[in-house]
Amino acid sequence: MGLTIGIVLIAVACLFAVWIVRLAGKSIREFDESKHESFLGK
Amino acid sequence: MNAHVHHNEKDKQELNKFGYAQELMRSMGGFSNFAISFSIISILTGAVSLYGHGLKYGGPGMMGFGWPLVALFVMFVAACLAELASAIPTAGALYHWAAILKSKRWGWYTAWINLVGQIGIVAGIDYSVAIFADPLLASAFGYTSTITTTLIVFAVILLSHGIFNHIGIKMVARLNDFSAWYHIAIVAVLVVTLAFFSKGGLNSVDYLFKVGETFSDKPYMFAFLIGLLQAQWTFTGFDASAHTIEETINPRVRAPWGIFTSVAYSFVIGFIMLAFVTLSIKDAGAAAGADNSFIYVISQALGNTFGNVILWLVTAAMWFCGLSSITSFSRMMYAFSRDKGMPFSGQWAQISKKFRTPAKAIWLAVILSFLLAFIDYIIKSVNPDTSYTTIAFLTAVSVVGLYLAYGIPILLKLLAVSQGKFQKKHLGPWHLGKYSNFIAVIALLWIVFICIIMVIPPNEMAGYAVLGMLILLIIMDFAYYKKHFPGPQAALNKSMEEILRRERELEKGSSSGPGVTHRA
Repeated sequence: MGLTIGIVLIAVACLFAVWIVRLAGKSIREFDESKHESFLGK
Repeated sequence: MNAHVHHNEKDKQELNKFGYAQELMRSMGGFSNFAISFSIISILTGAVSLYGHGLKYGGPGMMGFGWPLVALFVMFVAACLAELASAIPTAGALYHWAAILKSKRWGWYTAWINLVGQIGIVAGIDYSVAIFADPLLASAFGYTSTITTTLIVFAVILLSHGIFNHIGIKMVARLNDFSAWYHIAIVAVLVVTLAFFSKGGLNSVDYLFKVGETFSDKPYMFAFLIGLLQAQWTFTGFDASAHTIEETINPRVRAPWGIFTSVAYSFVIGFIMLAFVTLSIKDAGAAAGADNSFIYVISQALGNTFGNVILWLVTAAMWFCGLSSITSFSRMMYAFSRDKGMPFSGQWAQISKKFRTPAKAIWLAVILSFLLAFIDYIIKSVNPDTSYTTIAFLTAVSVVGLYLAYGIPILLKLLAVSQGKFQKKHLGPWHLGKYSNFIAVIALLWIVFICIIMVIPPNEMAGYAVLGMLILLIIMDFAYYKKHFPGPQAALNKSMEEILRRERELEKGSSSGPGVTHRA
């Protein structure tokens, strides 16, 4: 039981990392500099 | 114009928008930016020096469950920080984000809390190096290792880090690049050797996920939570990629990748290492009670000679880790000082005209880190029966300080988004899209949870230290900084002409005197 839960936990952590990498990769590819405005807190 | 020059000019212009001149040398590539965080996380420092702590409290299950559990939630935190670094690429990072997302006072508190954490992490790392190096030196030179000799070795190690950092970012970046590969190589050697040459073979995989066994006097669930310090401390310092953002080429993409991937790779490589070491345990009780549990397990599995070799190799890895942490810490203080947030800010904001490094901030980082360990040394000298260990104290202080400082800008961004102040157009190229808020909420819940866990007994001294420093901050704030801290917003009032003049001065190598340092 412990082994199964452990493997699931590791798989979830790995899948989360892969998901973030894909998410950020997509955002970089689709980034449009012309629509960007620096956040200066003014 | 080649791509490198084009990026440098673009990056400089982006920094100028925040009212800052390009003072530091921008020469770090993507791998160097990743390497500095990967080296500070340093699986061969945190996971190794606190291996005994994890094993004592959580048993073998700490490595099987504790490590991936902490890594998973730290990746939520890292993703949020990466998004902020891409949007606001300045060396002040956490404190600058907090200041412009909410107010300069939020920024001021974030900076000081971050500073406390940075002192803790540098002291913790270099004290770990000293704990490993002192017995080795003692056997080589024939003296007896005591807490006094450890403190002396600690001071020498800090000094060496100060010198290398003073000399220049190019050399430090090269050493960091080497450090990243070095960590991977050492783990690979260790894993392969344990897999094929461990005496009596490895335990079954079930052993790695064995729960219910603790070698402390606490109930297992409680002990397990205390043991999380091992993984949680390891996963600190990845904000270094943001602190060196003004030295990174194409920082809005490379720094966020550096933050996130350094955590992700450390999780995977660290887990493989811990799994094989734990599967090599012959007697968990004896290992948990040993002076150095990690080396004890290696020596039992592979013999004393190999154990000694690993000890030397791990000590070298820790040295690299300390080197990177001073780089990160000094950049944070440099950025905070250029906004006049510290006493004698004019001094710490100065750049060495020869090396283009924040030389005085580097040496201040060295001195503050030494002082934290020295105070602990005095306490232990006066009361040798203290129940906590120095390393647990230093590491708990750094975890609480750093994670509070990570949490504040994440919370303030959530609030700024809800108020419509921070909008989609403000995001940098690296962002989390519609999942940003959800990931931020999970990250914040983890930070609250872990900060509580890190200050409950037996780490209550760390809680008192952080509380004491918070009280001191409140006094400093009300006594002086509430009215006199201009904050990073003041930099926005600088004219472009003034910024460009400052850059020309540095190009000519004609500045760094107090008279020409930043005037907000």
